[in-house]
Amino acid sequence: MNTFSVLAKKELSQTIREFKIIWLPLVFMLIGATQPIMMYYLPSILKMLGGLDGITIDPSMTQVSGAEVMASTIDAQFNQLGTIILVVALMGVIQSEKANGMLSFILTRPVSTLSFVWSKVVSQFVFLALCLSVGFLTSYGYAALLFSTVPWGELLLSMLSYFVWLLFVVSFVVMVSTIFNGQGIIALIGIAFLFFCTVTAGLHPILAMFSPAGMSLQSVYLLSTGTFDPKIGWNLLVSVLWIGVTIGVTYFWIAKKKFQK
Amino acid sequence: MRLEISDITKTFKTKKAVNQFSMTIEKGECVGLIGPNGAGKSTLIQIIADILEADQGEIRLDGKPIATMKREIGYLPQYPNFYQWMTAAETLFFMGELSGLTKHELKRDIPDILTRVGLAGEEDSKVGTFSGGMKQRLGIAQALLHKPSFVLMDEPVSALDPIGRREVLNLIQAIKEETTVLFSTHILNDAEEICERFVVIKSGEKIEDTTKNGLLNRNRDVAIQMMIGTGNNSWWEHVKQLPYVQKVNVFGNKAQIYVNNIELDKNKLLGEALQHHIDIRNFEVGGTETIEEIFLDLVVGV
Amino acid sequence: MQLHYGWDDFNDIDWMTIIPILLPFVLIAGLLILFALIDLYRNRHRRENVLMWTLIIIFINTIGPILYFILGRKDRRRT
Repeated sequence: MNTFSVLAKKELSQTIREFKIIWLPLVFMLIGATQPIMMYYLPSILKMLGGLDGITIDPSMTQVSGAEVMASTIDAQFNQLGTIILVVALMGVIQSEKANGMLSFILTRPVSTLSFVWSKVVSQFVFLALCLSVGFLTSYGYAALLFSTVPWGELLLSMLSYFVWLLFVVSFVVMVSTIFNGQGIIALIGIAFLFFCTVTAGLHPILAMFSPAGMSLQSVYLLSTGTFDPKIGWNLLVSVLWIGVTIGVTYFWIAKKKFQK
Repeated sequence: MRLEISDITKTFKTKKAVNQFSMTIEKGECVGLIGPNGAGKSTLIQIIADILEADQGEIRLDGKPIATMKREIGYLPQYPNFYQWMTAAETLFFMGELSGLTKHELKRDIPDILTRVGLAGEEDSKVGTFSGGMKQRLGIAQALLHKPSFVLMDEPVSALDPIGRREVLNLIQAIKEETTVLFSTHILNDAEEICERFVVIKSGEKIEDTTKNGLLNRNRDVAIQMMIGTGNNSWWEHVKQLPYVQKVNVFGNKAQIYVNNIELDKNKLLGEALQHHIDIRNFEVGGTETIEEIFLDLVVGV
Repeated sequence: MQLHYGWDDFNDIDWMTIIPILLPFVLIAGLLILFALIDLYRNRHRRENVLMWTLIIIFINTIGPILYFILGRKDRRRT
């Protein structure tokens, strides 16, 4: 058995032992369900609060499609609370191994830095992609129930393009977790930078071209308009570059043993 | 199996932790790396274990760079710590698999090794609940599991209570029969008990590389240790006047007496003392200093 | 604008249409709390601040169990 699979297997049993495998999918279910439910009840809540004074509700607003609901699930939930939870779930991924000395321990064994870094990124990505899928499917189900059905192809493609962004999230937090030693600072930098990426990408098309969040934007775009933005090839390329750079930095940091105090 | 450390230098920011350190360890040797806290012992051991990168110099095992020979090394860090959520057996399984052992070998060897380090019956306890001594022993089990030809231990007993310390020392005694051992300590007695060869490190530099006997012999000054009953202190003044006495260091009722020729003069001095009806409690010829004192001289002295 | 709502308004809400929609949501949130509490109870002898975590899990909605799973699952050491 090669070291990659030994390490990946350890990551899996850790997610089971720490109950991540239960609570993270549950949390993403909640996050995925929030937006459709909120949007469904928003008009009646507004009506109740507005009472007789009558805030006029634009009738078109109630006519949202399921796809648009999912788009705003990504925008308002996954990109916000979802990102915070991803970062918090990931912040210890290398930091805790440094803190308890296991990183040094593992590297005294015949383990290549590459298989160590890959095992971390790949196993965390696969697991979190599964959690997010649960969230997507919950949102899909509620959207179909309360609004209208989203075509399967659209759902699948939007998930895939969002997973490119997820891969960046994972590799970025892994990098920060390798460089810094405190969980607080890792969470802060992770959340701040990832929010910065999504917000700036949404501000201007030029910024979106260079942001690693381009692919998450594409996913929203697909759901709200039915097609990808034509710049998707470019977005994909930029995302892959960002992912490459973050993994490269992580690799360098561990290979050069800079994590030692 | 021969470990060559050549010209290792490592600087942390402004502090030179290890400075041009070289030594060779032959197969089967047991070497104690001794030095006060902060002398660079841990840094050196971590460089040998390939956890830290040296600024300069190289470590070779059998002529090959250490990074390619990790299979042959067993390493015990100063404060071994493992995944809290793993049990003792799982930890060994994980580390063993990383070392390239097969499941079959591990299933066979893990119970043995746990018994050997005194953790039988704790296989299924979580490491998170282990005490320092138990973790130390699990660390030793982990270091020996893949039957390395070279075992590195960083302060294996310093953090333990007297009982744990004794257990671990006995374990190392047994280990050194089978493999080459290098371990660091700031407690000289531990090194003295286990190892024949000492390397003393101070401020990152090697200041002594010797055996126990070499250390004692070289410092075997011509001196007499004498202890007398109290109330006879005027005797020391008398001794100082004797023609064959060079120097007397008095510590209350004890003294170190340096004479010209130890073989002849020791009997003269004893005769003198008998003549003066001195209440002799102890009269000893030999090393002026214990290994402890020699060590202190080396490390604290010039 | 009406600021206070009485029982009448409460009854105005059409519970039959709301329950099927909200029930799964509440169920999942409850499940999360339940899992956290079960884990805490099973390991109560090995954990510190058991009471504090119990309160956090129950009273801080959704975030409480998450906090517990991330920060609260550390075992006390044997001495």
